[in-house]
Order: sequence, then structure tokens, then C-alpha cells
Amino acid sequence: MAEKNNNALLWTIGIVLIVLGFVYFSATGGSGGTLKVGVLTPLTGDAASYGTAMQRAYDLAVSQINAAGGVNGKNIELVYEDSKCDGAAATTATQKLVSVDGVKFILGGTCSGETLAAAPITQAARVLLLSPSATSPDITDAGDLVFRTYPSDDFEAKMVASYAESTGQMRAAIISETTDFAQGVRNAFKASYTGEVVFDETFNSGETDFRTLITKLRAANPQMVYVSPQSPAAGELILKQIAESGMNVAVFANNAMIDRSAIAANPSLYEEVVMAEVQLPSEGKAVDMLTAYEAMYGNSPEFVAYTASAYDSVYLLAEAVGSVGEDAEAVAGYFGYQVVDWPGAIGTFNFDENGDAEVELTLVQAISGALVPLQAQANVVPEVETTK
Amino acid sequence: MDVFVELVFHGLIAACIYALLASGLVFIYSTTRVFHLAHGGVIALSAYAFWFTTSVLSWNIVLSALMAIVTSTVLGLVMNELVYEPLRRRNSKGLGYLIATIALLMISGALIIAIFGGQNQSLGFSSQVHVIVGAHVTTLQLLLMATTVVIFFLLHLLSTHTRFGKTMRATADNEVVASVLGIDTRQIRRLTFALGSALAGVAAIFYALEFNLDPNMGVMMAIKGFTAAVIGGPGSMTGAIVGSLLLSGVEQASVWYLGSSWRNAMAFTLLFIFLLMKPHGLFGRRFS
Repeated sequence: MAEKNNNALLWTIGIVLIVLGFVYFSATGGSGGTLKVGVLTPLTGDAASYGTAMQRAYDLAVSQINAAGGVNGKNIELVYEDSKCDGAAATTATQKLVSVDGVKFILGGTCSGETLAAAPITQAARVLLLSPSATSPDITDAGDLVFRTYPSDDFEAKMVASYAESTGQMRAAIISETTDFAQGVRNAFKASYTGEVVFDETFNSGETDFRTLITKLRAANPQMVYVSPQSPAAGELILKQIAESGMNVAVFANNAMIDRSAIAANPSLYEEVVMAEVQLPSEGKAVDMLTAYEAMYGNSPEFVAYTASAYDSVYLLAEAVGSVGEDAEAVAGYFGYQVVDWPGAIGTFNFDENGDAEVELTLVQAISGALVPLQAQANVVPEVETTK
Repeated sequence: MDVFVELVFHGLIAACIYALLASGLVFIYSTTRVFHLAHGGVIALSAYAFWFTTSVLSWNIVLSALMAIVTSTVLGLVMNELVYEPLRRRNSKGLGYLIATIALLMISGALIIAIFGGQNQSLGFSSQVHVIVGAHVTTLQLLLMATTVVIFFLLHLLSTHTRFGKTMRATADNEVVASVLGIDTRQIRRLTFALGSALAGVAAIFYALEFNLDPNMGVMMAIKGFTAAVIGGPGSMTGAIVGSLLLSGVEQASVWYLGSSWRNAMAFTLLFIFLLMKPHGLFGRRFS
């Protein structure tokens, strides 16, 4: 008899808990007081280094906007999902954001693969996708509600190709990771490079031993190597193993490797590596953002241009929602027609007709652990280019 | 010629890493008959401990290395006492151990993310490059090869020339008879796990210095160690060496002839062929 009573008590407690759970989630989930915005960014794995950098930029912008009264009186609430820089994880994460959280706007993905995987879902649900850092050329055609605040790799690869040609490096080797982003860079480079591509091989994510690949590369006798990894981690190992192979060759890297803390930690590994990055203006919003960033996190951002891009994307979204309301189509229209020479932390900003960012890129070179713009440096030391 | 010598060295370096991964697995399997795949997780956790103590706490590198070995030994012992011994008392069969060890492997990855964060880490270590008969080899890689040879030599001595080795083999052959003869089989298993897991610490140190750390690296290590051990024959130390050489050779050849993206595909093809044609490996004994 006592046992029966116990069972009944357990059942009652269980039911009460379930009911309370439902009440709790419907109360918090269906709140009218906040503007819910989904975020897709890698928080674990290889790409977490820039995924979490994006997170800090979003949090900074949101805390500022909320402190200033929010959007139309509503605070912005970010719902983070770990998209792992992986198409499959991004699909699940996007579906969760769209169906469970019911968001109308998503910031991200950070990687191109995530963004390309999320786009069909957001397009079908008529949700706006705004990426601060997915740079694959394929995203240009991903949909009418897909926007980004960082220029496509087409520009970067063209700059690298024309710089290499202008310095007489006509035999190129390419090492690229088998991801949407890294392959986008590779293809864009091959399309615009007029020299000979003497070596062009891919490696799978998670690979750590590049030695045989590099020996093979050396046998092809290139003048330059274009390293196109998905994340700084893989790229740094390639640089290390190139250095250990005793090969002396000009190295170019894609924008995934612009990790200032990694470059500062290992200056000799990155010495003279050339990359393309958006240079922030030395005044206005960019300076304010960097000051606020340091005040909030105690250090300067590792990926400066991406941080500015992510920071701007929150402000762009807030401004659009503030003026046309919480409607994805209307916000897309606002982006297309009302954002003209918008003054952002990343510089003067426009969206082109495909929702791609129009911001200027600059070639930078790692010198003693710092990134120096190539043009400026060429002015100071004109011999640099001829000695190559 | 130079290129060939270079490739041989690359193969040897990778083989040494695989052999270190496989040595602990084989050592533990040969006594306890547990295919301790969570060994990969133990390596990953101790590699993170090594990174954390050198890079974050700025300990002396020797002290950090000791810390890595202590971490791996303790982890191995804890896994044995809390998971494998209770399973043994319940007379679990192979599948039970397999599920348990895979769970431990997953938990190790989650623990790394919980303790050290989800980011990849790099020690940024580089050592001097030497040119040996035309091939470029670093001091660290030479040390890795020497350490691997010494470890296998010591393991060989241990199992053939010591009383502990004899009791180990007796426990492996027939646990019931061994305990009837007065061998404390539980203690033997405990020591085996301690020693085998200490080897994980050594593998972790070299891996951390040579490559990057990734929270999920344990899974790949378990797979590579497993492959090398199965090819060689899971109970045999000689097998672990030959299996590692064969695995590494096939990988380097597939990178050279087919491209880097084929590396794992060819490694798994090799594993598949062995499981199909020679399931007990090159040097394995048949167990009932």
C-alpha cells in the first residue's frame, strides 16, 4: 500500500514538472518584449577560433544597442547555435532556429559551408540570412534574402593573382582544403591567374601530416604557394611543415589565416606571408568599436576586419528593423535601397544587387608578427618587390 | 633519390606516431583483452594537459611532460576501476566493453571542450632542421624516432624477461588458472592499465609538439591506433610496429600517387582488406 502511494506521488511530481516546463518555455519562448535574432557560428572545432571571435563582436554590438534602448523599444536577444563550420550541423541548427525559436533574422553563418547549407532553409521559410564572413563566390546566388557584409573571395583571389603576376611569379602551387570556402578561393584564383598552376592539390579537414604533399609540391618547383585552408589551425601546420621542408618560396594565404594572435605568437612562421584583408578606417566608428571592444574584453580582436563586419551586421539589421519593422522581406528591401554609402566600422559600405558587400580589400604582409599593408610598405622599402 | 629518402623519412615519422598510439592499445589488450579505444581520448586529454601547463601556466617543458604522463596514467586507472572492472564482475562480453570504451572516448572529447574550451590549440613549437642524407628532419622528429625504438625495446624486455611480464602473459592466457596459481589478476590489470596509459602520455607529448590539438582528435587517434594494431595483430607488439609501418607506408604512397584527400580512404581500405582476409593480423594469435 505504501509503495502504491509512493508511485502515485512520483507520478504527480513528474506531471507537475512537465506542466511547469511547458509553462516556462511558452512564457520565455513566446515573449513579445525582445527581438529574437538567431546566430549560426562555429563554437567548437577547428573554426571555433573565428567563430567565437564573431560571437564577441555580436555580443558587443547587441550590448551597445540594448543599452541605448534597443530596437523600437525591444531588446535584441541573440540565440546562438553551434554550426561547427559544417554543412550538416548548420542545417540542423538553422532548422532549430527557424522552427523552434521562430526567428525571422539569422546572423551568420561564419563559414561559407554553413551559409550555403542554411540558405535553402532560410529561403524557404522567408527568413533573412546576414553573414559577416562567409566569402565563397557561390553565396552571391544563394537567394534574395541572403546578404553579407564582407566581400566575396573573387576579389581577394584576383588581387593575389595580379600581385603575384606583377612580381613575376608565374609558377604557382595551390594547397586547398576540401570545404566550400577554401575551394571557392582556389577556383577564383585559378580563374584569374594568368601564370602556370604547376601543383594543385586538396586535403581533407582534420589532416595534420602535410609533409609528403609538400615534398610533392617542391618537386613541381613553383615560385609561389597559395595556401587555402578553412581555418588558421590547418594553415599554420602547413606553414610549419613548409618551413621544416627547407623550401624557400613566396607564400600567399587566404583570409582564414588572418589570426593576429597566432601571427604574433609565431612571427617566424608567418614571415612575409601575403594575405588580403579589409583595412579599417583609422577614424570614426572603427576606432569607437575597437575602444569598446578592448573595454569589454580586455584585448584587441584577433580578426579585426571580420569583427568589424560582424559588429556592423548587427547595427545594419537593427537599423533596418527599426525603420521597416520585423519583416524579413522589408528588411531585404531596406538593405537593397536604403543602405547607400553606409558609414560602418568596416568602412563605407554598400550592398550590390546580389546582396554582396562592396568594401575595398588591401593586401597585407606579415612582418615580424604584425600585418603591414603591402602598398604602404612598398612605398617605404621599394626594394622588397625586386628582391623576391 | 633525395625525394625518395625524404618520403621514407616522412613514412617513418608517421609510423612512429602510429606505433606510439598502438603500443598502449596493444599492451592493454594483450593482458586484459579489452580493446581500449578510449586510449585515444586519454591521449587527447593528456595532450591538452600538456598544452595547458606549458602554454597557459608557463611551466617548464619537462615538468609539463611529467604532468601529461601523470594525467594519462591516472585517467587510464580511473577508466579501468570505474568502468572495465565493474563490467568484468558482471561477466560482460565483447560488445559491452566496446560500447563502454566508445562512450569513454566520446566523454573524453566532451571533457576537453568543458575544461579547455572548443578551440584548437597550438604549442607553436619548432625545433632545428637537420639535413640527413638529403632529407629534412627536425630534432623533435629524431627524438620521436629514438623514443619509439627505446619504448618498444623496454616493452619487449618487460614482457619476456621479468616476473611481471610472465604474470601478465599468464593472466592473458587464462585468468582463472592464473588466479588459482596465486596471481592477483586484478592487480596485474591495474598495473597494465597504468603502464599502457603512461605510454598514452608519451604519445600525447610528441603529438602536441608536432601537430595541433583539436578537442575531437581522440577519435582519429583511436582509429589510427586501432588500424595499426589490427593489421599487426592486436595482441602483438611486433605486430604494432609492422602494422604502423604498413599503415604509414600505404598512406604516404596514396598521398604521393593519388593525392592527400585519398589518405584516409586508402588507410581504411587497408584495414578492410585485413579484417576480411586476415582478421587476426600479421602476427596475431587466434583466440577462442
